[in-house]
Amino acid sequence: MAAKSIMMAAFNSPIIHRLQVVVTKTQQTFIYESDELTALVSTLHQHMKYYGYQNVQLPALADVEIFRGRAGDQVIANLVTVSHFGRQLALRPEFTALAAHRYTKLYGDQRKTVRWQFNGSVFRETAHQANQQMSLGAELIGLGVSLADAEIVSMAVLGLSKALDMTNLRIEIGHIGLIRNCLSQFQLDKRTERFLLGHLSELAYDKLSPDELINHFEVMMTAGQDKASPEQSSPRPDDIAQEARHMLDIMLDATRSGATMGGRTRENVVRRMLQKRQRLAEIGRFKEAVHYLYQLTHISDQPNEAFAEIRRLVSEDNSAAQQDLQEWQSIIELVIAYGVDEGHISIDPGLLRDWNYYTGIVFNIDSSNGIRLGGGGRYDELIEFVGGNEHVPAVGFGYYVDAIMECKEPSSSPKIDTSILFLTWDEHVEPVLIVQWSKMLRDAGMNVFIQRDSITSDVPNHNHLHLTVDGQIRYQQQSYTFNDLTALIEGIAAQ
Amino acid sequence: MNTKYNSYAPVTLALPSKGALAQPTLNFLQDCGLAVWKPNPRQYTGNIPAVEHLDVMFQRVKDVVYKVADGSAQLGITGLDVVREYADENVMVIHNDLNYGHCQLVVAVPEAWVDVENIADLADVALDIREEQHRDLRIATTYTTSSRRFLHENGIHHFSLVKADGAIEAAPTLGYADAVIDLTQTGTTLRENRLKMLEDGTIITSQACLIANQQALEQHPQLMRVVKILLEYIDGALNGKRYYQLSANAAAESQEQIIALLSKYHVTADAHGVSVVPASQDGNRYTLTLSVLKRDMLAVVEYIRQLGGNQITVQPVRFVFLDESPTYSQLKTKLQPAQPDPTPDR
Repeated sequence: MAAKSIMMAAFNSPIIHRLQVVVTKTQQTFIYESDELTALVSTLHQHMKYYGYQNVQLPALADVEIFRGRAGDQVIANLVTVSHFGRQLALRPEFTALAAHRYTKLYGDQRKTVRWQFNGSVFRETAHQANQQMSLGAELIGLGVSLADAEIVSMAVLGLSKALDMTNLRIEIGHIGLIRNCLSQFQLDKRTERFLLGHLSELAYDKLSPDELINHFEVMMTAGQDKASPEQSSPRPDDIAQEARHMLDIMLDATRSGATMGGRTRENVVRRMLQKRQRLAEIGRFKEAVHYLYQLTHISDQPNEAFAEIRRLVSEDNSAAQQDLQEWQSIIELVIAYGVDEGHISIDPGLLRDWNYYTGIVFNIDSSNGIRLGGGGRYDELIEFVGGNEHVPAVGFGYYVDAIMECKEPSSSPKIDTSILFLTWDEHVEPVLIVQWSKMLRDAGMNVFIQRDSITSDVPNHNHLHLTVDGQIRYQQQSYTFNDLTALIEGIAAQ
Repeated sequence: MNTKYNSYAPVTLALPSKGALAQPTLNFLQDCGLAVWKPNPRQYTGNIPAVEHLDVMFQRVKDVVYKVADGSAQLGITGLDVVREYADENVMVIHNDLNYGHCQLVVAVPEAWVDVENIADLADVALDIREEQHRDLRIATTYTTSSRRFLHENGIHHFSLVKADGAIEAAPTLGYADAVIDLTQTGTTLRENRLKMLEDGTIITSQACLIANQQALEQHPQLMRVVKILLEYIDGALNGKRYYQLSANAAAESQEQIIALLSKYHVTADAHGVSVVPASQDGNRYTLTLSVLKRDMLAVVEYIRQLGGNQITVQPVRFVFLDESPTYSQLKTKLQPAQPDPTPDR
């Protein structure tokens, strides 16, 4: 009865429910493929080590605020959270926020340049299940020059193309800082800007036309208000002041009759009401911004051609955007100088990744058949956001190891690791003999895998030892006693 | 999963023991000809004499879902809202339109928030609260899973859910939440607590539903036999509620003439249970009976009058049985590969 109660309590718990983790390929791999995974991770680690990146261990479970603070909406929506004695925790959805947090803990207000690399499982909720995937990445914190961006982009690309021999990669590079600075010329309210950036991918990849996006904005802004035409609903300052008085009257009346305010004040409500009306007044500028961004995000070409088109669209008076453009070009030149094939690079101003997380360049690396293998970008505000120095720049990337494993050519057969010896035995062999033989072989530096069942046909003969009931090992049609151990080891080594 | 059910054991139907669905469920089953027999009011078990091998257990609405999920009960009646919130992949909704226990799970904010009319406004307010007060928008609810899913899907990411089990509408007044997500039937309780629903803030439109343990359904023909009987009663009764049975006397030369006249009007042509029998010895008057949709009743009355009919009486219909229960047909399709038709008990 007690056991049943416990079982039901566990079942009833939303926490347990939400933690039914679905493991992806890297967690399901067969033992020999797991060696391939280890080799892949080790190769990429070594590759990054050449650039001076140190291994760091970051926690799998951390305070939810570390991830929610500045993570993109998509990351927040897909967080796998648990409640632990009233504290909200989350399984890491990625490493960057944890790295920023670690940096702040270690260096406080100082600015120090660090190069860190890490790997492990990351967790995201997809289709209402926690999904576990393998990630491997690096962060370069404290260096804000183009060289740093170029180092990260090229290290990420060359890790796949040179260290793992993956060919025909496609690298898309965008610049969220440039987009933001171009948008600033339209002087939009910050929520209108957020709305626009939130829908920019749909605009860039033709999931929404400019007119549909404008219509969407108008519907949202006019919902619950008089359904006047946008032109008519653009309020004049006098109207706004009159409306403010009217709203205050309503609010005061409501308060007198005991209305609840939740956690907001009357001033909060009135201010937002007015801001909402103000946004409607911006509709003309919003439309201009949408059409401008539509043009800008529909440029996608090789660097020289793309930059010529972008330059045409970026106002000469917008010095911040001009500076971003110059920086972007400089990064591409350096990436090419690092040895990344220019023909594989595509400049894509519509590439945003998580726009409220990144502040400068953003990039994706895809396989020739369009599978996303990794990506990253610059995030200069994150360290400040997690409590560190406001002037600490940072750039980083992550590999999607599951996707890389899927795209990578399978290793040549046989898959069996030849250093493993499979030791089987006859039915009546004394267990102590099995232990003695395996110990002696292991002491001699052999990897011994004792296996009661018969071995599979893909194990080569020279990896198979069989212990007979008389205590002798049969190997390659010869029998060996304890006294013949040296001969046996030499025989194995000769294979 | 071990469903805890074997083909020799009686099937168990879990029903709500308390709350808004408890008595309406018993009334509904009685209307369907499936009256529940309970040895005494304080006992949590019973049976339905109309269906052999069918036991009943009474549980809280939430526990009905858990019992079906873990196979302790193979069937259950509860609210769709509860199923969406607590069910796992073992729970299958067999009938989602039992037509009682209607309610909605809605987002509601203080009436005084005159700047908030829709979910986009609430998303904006969540950002305001985050930026100005450095905290999350707090929402009180019992339905944390459905709420979390809905809020994220609608662009609200900075929120914290305050789990509460009762008097949720009072949370903003008491100060421990800014807004609520709660069940409502008419919105009266929300209004009385000075809250308003958002125009696009309906998360679930709910009513009572019949659920089953999917694995048990797939593995046990005996269970499918019981389900078939239940669904015949339920679909028959729900269908019956949509119909009236009309009887009238009419003068005609023959039965065939009346049938021909009825078939000329599309409503009477499609009517169920048409019968025409002589009403007098001389063979000139006939009594016709037919079942028509309630919405067509007056049109049919008028048509029968035009044919010279009189003494028209109308009665409710208790059951309308089609060739097979439509819900049972759909269930068999869902449970592909196709289930063999259960051999009727003899």
